[in-house]
Amino acid sequence: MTLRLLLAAFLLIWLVRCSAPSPSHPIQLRDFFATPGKRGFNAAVYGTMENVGDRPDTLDRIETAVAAQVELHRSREIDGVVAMEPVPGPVVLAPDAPLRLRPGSYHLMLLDLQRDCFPGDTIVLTLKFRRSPSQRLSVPVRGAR
Amino acid sequence: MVVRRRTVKPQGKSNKARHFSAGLLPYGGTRRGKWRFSLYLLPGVLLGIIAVLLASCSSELPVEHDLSQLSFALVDQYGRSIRFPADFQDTVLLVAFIYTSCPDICPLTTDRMVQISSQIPENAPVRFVLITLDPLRDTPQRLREFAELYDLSQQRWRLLTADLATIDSLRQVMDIYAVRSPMRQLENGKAYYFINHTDALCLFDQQGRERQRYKGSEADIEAVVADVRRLLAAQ
Repeated sequence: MTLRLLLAAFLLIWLVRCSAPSPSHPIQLRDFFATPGKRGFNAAVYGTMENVGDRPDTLDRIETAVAAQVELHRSREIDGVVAMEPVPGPVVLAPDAPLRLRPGSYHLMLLDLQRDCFPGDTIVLTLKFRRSPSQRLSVPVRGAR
Repeated sequence: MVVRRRTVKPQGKSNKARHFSAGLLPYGGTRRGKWRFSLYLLPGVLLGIIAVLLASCSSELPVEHDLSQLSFALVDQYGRSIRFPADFQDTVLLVAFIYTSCPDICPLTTDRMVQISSQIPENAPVRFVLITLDPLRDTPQRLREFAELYDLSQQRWRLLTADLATIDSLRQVMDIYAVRSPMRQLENGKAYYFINHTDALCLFDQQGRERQRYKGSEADIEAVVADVRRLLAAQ
């Protein structure tokens, strides 16, 4: 019985550690949220990534079970026309140069959702960095205000 | 009554100088000239005041695009035929061009419209219309799913699609730019594209005329609501 309790407590602590970004991780992830989308739609993820370490790192890949692919995209407006395009090349996170993902600007694009994501749901992303350990991030889905 | 006049010497003077001397310009000239000047000025001032009053009046929002004599055959999110804008006569419309594969700008515009909608009484003759720029993918079923995601009420919202030629024709009449990005392929083999497009929210009056245009994703909620109320009041 005691062993089971210990195992359950260990499992709980491990889950909490995985879902919340570690405060000691060199890449701090803040204020993340996602737009909703049905299966086959795309969704966007916003938030802030900040390298609080002392050397640059690179975001190599983002994995998730809810989308076929995740890419860093940017929306831009030129003369009243908005265009959305993938950001080419490696995503370098320099110290003290936060990458702010905001509506109408940079965002993580969840392409081809594999399931419905309604407001109130949670999307789990795994961010893989070149130097720092991977981070598992839980992102709430928000609807219209 | 004798009015003394200053001596005017037109010889060798330009017209401007002559007018100055005759009191047609604000400074200088005779007392009578000043009076005459005021008389000339008065109608101008009155006209200016009237113009300002009219400009602030609802019915004087300029007509940006007149679609009152046009009819576009569209289909709503339930598969029902809609003649746009004829079927919305006597209704104020807020119209945006979006596509459901856009997760960034188009949800922002939709979100703005939802906020505007929340400030207008449910029984007001106002409808919210989203017209797709991507009719190849945005079927009525997909538009219905989009409405479900953003909790867009069945009574108040119409999400419209059509064949590509009709959508192109409508957006050209309304000066809405839209062009597909190059086709790309996902790792799972699926092809996808985006659409670069005008970020616009258009206010239509009860006669099917576009009366005001805002930047869709950043529209000033209060300003749009005020314009909607002006059009409702002008009915």
